[in-house]
Amino acid sequence: MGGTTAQPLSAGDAVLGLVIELPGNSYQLEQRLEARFGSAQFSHATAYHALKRLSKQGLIRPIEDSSPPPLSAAPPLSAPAAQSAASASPDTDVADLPATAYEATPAGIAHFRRWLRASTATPPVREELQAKIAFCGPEDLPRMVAIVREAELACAAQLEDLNQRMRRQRLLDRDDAWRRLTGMIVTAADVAWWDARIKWLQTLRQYLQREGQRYAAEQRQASSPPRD
Amino acid sequence: MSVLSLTGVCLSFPRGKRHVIRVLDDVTIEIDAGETVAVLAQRAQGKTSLLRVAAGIERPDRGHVRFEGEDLWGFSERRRSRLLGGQIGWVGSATPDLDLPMLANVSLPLFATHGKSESYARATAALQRVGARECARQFWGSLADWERALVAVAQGIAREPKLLLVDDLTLSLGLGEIEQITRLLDALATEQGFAVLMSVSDAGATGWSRRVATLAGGELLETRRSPVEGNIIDFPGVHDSRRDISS
Repeated sequence: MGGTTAQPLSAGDAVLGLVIELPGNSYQLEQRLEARFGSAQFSHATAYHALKRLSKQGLIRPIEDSSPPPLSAAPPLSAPAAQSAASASPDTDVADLPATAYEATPAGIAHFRRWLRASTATPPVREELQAKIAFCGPEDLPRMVAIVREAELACAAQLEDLNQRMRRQRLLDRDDAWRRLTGMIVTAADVAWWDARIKWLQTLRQYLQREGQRYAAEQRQASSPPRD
Repeated sequence: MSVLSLTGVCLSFPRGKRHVIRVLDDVTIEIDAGETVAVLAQRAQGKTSLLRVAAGIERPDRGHVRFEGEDLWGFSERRRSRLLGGQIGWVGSATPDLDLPMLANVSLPLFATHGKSESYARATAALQRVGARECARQFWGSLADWERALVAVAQGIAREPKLLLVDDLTLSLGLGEIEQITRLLDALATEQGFAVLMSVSDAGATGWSRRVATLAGGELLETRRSPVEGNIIDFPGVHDSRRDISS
């Protein structure tokens, strides 16, 4: 046990899985990636770059006649996305255009099946806040409380985003019982992660606040003139 | 105008002669009609106290509690208690005081204001709306946790409240049941136009709430953001999503 190095979910695997489920262009896949794996916080134009990579590896291929696209018509790329796409590939050929729809090749499907059935390892905990708490001194406590409060607010916002995505996804999956079930389980895993984090932050904040008050009281006592 | 508005609310309870437990510390929150807000907190962090303050049961040490713009503590005690029985609904998981069939239990609090037949009609409609019609003749002891939660919601909405306060209703429910009950509350809030303030001890129960706040050490934290309904409706390939959510 413990022999494998844990890897986070790669954008390539996620995008390949989405293409196998339903072929699509980079805009559609960007939307579906966000809806299904929003908590992974993939960066902008991730699906576009993943599609290019997967295409080069022969795991997906452009659909010859990709009009009309499988879902709904892809709106034009937003300015940053278009800029990002253009800057990423100066020698863009037809297959690299954002509106091109892709489907999986037999090699891509086989690759994905191998990934799906391979064991996964437990990811390491590399939490910056934990390290900050570990290294802080009593004089840093007020700032640490503020940082924890910010983190708690950010988590609540993430939870709201997740809930919003979940509501959207339920609408999309309403006619697919299996997808609804797996969606619910995956959302529950995301929610459990945020739940644990918020609760940890809440406990931490209260603990740091108590310690901060105790430290401030000690400081006041130490600086007051001694009584005769 | 907000249905419920809490401004700078502080609440503390004395413990012995020297100690004071500060349950709510400068809590400010506003909830509009049709909105659902979930307050996520661990046990013994003031969730129920927050709801009791919002209901006008508990008087805060400081701050203002306004219902539809009017200060709750400017009302007479009689008017306040009438409000709690009518325009402010309470949904909890406590066992009913009387061991009666659920239809009687849901309709009984309505008798004083609506008469017997109207009360039964309202209770029947409420049980039907939440999908618990078959529980009407059942007693509390024979109901599953899930059915008890539905009956509690029916009791809360039977009086057609403007504000529904839901106290940790999903505590003993499973994953799918939590989603169904919170989805139901959100649909009811949209459909009937009341505001929902619900306390939850698990983030999973916030799923269908439009806003999420956290409560710990008396401090309520919330990132108040603009409504996001447009995003749902504009999503490619999805039309008339509000109807789908509510059905």
